[in-house]
Amino acid sequence: MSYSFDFPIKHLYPDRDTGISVAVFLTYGDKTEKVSAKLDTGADFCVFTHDVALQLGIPLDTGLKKTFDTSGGLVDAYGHEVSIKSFGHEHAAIVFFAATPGHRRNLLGRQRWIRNFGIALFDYDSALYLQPIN
Amino acid sequence: MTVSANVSSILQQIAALNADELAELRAQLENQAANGSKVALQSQLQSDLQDEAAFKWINEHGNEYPGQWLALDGDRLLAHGSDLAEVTAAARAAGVRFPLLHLVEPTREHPYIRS
Repeated sequence: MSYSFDFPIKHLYPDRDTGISVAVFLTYGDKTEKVSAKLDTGADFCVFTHDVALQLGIPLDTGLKKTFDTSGGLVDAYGHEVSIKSFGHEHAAIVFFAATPGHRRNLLGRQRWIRNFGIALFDYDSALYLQPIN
Repeated sequence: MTVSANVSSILQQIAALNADELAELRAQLENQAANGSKVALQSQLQSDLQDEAAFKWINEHGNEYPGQWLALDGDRLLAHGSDLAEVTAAARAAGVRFPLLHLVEPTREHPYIRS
């Protein structure tokens, strides 16, 4: 038995960069920034750096506090609702921002991002295929 | 006055249009202007090809800027540094509303795994 899927989006990511990078627009209030973030199937949530929160003017410590267990140790972060847009697909989502500058990666995790797409990965040609799920 | 590679490319395409196509283009642009900034914002939010060019640049040059934020417009590096606010401000000063902001991770001594 074989399976076939139809993906309307193809994204070529940098081969030598660490991780599979995707550009996302984050909007909080009237501020929008476009940042690169790494697709991380091992991450439960989307987590962005402290710097990105400051840049968007997010009052960080008013959000939902959560501690994440990472390979580099525990990371405290705050959840805030933002609009997150990638490949023309936009949705509102609670994503997390690191409480301190120590966390140096923007991560797109399963909840609020990966689950919003059907995804096929062909790493040998650095290609990510996506199907937005409404 | 200098123009970006993208604008230059668009101008070349415009130069090849016939009179009817020019009139259609003019009407479309006027319609966009009449609808305010929302249309312009929508078009700026869908610059995936620009992003791919930026990622290609990062692939080739990113390791020259370990630990720094980069602001790119396609394959054009607008600014870089450790302070994201300063990097973003410099990119906006260069006339780019939504530069791609990318943090180059410091070079690792050993390959990365998530455990």
